[in-house]
Amino acid sequence: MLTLEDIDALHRAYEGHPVPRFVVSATLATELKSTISIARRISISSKNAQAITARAGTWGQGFSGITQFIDEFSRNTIDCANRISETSRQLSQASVTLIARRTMADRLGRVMAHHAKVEALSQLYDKYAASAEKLEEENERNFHQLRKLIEEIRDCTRALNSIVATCRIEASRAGPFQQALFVIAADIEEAAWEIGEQIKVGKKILDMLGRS
Amino acid sequence: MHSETLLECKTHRWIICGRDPDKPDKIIDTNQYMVRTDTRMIILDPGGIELFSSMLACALNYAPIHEITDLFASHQDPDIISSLGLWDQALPKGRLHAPWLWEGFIRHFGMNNIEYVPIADDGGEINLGSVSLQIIPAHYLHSSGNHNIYDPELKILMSGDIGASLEPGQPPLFVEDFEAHIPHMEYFHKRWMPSNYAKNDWIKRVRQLDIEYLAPQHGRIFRGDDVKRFLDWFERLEVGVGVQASYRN
Repeated sequence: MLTLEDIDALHRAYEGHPVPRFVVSATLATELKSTISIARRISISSKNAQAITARAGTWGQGFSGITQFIDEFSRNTIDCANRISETSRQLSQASVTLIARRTMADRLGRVMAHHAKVEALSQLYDKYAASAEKLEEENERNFHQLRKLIEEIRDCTRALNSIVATCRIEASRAGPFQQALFVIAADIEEAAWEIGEQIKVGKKILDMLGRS
Repeated sequence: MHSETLLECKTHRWIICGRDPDKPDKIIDTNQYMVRTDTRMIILDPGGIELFSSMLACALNYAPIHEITDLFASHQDPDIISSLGLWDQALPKGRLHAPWLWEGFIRHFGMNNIEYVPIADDGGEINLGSVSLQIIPAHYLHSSGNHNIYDPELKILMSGDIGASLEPGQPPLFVEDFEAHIPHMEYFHKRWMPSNYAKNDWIKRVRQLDIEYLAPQHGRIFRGDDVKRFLDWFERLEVGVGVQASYRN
């Protein structure tokens, strides 16, 4: 897992040149993959809470009502992280193809400038240029989609943090089951914090994508 | 693309990437190997241009991009290094270790930023700071300028096309039954390896190394006693006769 300092080091390594878009998007896909496993941990904590509250009867009624929200947010987080991974992968692949198309168009452009019979070359040039433009548009769409998905995960994490506060209140009312539910609230809080840190890294990578 | 750690010790580990389910059908499957130290990573035979995106994603699971400092190309073939033009743009400071013989050819894949470190005919070493890998000459097996990588600490020989096998589907990582494996590698060696002299010279030198894993660029890896079985089998095999063999078939 990269830290914010690692991202700075990555940026510095390119010595002022933009980090290639296909590198940034592949890095983003890799980094946010672990968000899925953290969100799964939250989901497991929620299932454990359900089991405890079922045993706790009336002691656990308050906490029981919250578990479905925890479940819902962990599901949303997993869903967003999966979509980020897939969108970043597509963006990385399309950026690689874009380089090939642009290179071809540039080279043809240079040849055309010194060539008398340019008609056939011109058609080929137009084909590559049009394909590059299409890929640019696709990349732009994917980039905005990524920004939206990261915002969504961040909202989920904020909501989870609010729920944790309620979890603690309800755990304190759970009598003999109080300690077990406190542990679960702490687990969820820790996982939400880890996701929050990853989102910070993700956002920083995304900012780099905006500049590339 | 599937990846997993093959072996590791305190200073470094070997990772294999391959068996890519997203690979276009008509492209030969390849094994890419990576050696990761605490601060650097080298990719051995990083593969073709069609695999680049998957390979990049795979490599980033083990190291951030700026810690991928070195590439090694055993020879000039497209399945070995045609992705170079993209690595050239991806790596902020990269070095490519490749046979001196192929520099003018390999540069056709596109190379403006990466430094070409020519490997002499008698091999040499790649220093990754805490780890040093030996470069073992393997000329004419099959390329006329060709090298293997040997790690004396973990006892792995990355043997390039030597020991390669062609099997349909997604075969397991290791050879499990040597005799059953022979049909998958026999024609490959008869056809792609041109010189019995070069083959025997290589076997003689390689027998002096302590090898626990012989890891080719295609197909399964040999380990333990199967390494010796492979060397014995290869020694008996007459190579450079694949065309006649294909006529007979």
